[in-house]
Amino acid sequence: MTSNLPAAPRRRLRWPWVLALLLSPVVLLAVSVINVLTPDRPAATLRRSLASASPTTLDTRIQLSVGPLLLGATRFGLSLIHNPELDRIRPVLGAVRHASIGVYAAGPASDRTASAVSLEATRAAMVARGWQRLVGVIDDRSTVMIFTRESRFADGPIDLCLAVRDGGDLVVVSTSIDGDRLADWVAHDLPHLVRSELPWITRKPVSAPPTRGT
Amino acid sequence: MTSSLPRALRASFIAATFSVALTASALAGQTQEPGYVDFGPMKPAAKGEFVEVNIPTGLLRFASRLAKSQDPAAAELIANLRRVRVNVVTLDDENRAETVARMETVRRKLESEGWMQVVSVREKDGGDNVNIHVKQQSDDSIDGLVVTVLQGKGEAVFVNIVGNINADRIGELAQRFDIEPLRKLKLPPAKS
Repeated sequence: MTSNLPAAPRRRLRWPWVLALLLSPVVLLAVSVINVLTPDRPAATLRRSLASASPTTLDTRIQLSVGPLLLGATRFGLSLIHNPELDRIRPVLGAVRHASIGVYAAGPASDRTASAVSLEATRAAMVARGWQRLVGVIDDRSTVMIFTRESRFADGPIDLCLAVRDGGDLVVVSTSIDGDRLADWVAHDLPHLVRSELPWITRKPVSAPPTRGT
Repeated sequence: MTSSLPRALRASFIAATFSVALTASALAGQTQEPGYVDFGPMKPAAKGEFVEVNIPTGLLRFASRLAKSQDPAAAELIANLRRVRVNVVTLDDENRAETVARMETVRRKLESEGWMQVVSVREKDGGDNVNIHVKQQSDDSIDGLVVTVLQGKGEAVFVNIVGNINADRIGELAQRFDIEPLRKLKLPPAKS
């Protein structure tokens, strides 16, 4: 009788580990899916600030965030495809470290006073989180705001956060870009791309031949 | 006699106060660069455009790196700039008085702080009203430049360029940033 007693504690100790092992892939998958389907922090701050200044609620149409892991997997997958068009933009894809994009239905555009209030309130909310506004534009139909974190320009990636409201649609994008790679691509590959895809840019204007008088 | 505050809490409080003081002084230093001017908040009109552009030092240096291989002269010019700010405000009956008053206040403040007015244009029949002020560092360089324009068509423009700008380069700056009144600007001798 007493020889059976030690077996019971060992069975109880094994179950939590087995359960953890079985559930961990599911949990990891769930966390990954949640990360992909939710905006990153800067985009969330920007969206929240705009939503609080808007008279209507924001309905999400698209929400996608891709981090280094997913981007790396995408780049690896694309590296297996041999395509001249892809080859031109591979360096740009390589420069993106992470990206978050959200498209929302924002209802009818609010009046200009509300847009101005929104512009200022959003700026204050982002400044409180270490962001600085690069561009703020309001016109009759749309509002555009672009933010950056200046301290990151000297070294490390460039962080950009952008919001565009056009009529009833709102797009919020947040990204982190490797500045060195982007600078290299702009310096070396962009001119060739522009010349090949947009030859009219480099073509000299042809003067009209003189017309003969009657 | 022991303090009522635990030692760790006191140390944290002192560190926090020191950090706040350092940050405040750093921020103050940043916004009080010679050549920097605070235009204050602008009020948009009910219709038309409202534009604000604020390009900080880091982004200007990045732009300089981008331009280096294609246009080294432009890259050098941009690298010497510390900040570029532009505000364009469409005027209507709601914001005209306030914006015009703000522009006059900015112009008076510049002159009281030793900025030199180098261009003044007053077109007839409600045309453009343009002032350009510079903050001179020496006879051939400036710390900053402010352009204020009231356009007859109903727009106010404020431009502030901060940086170590050589007088010879001002025309080049005007060309690149499309500031028409600057194209033929000549600096007077700096006051001693």
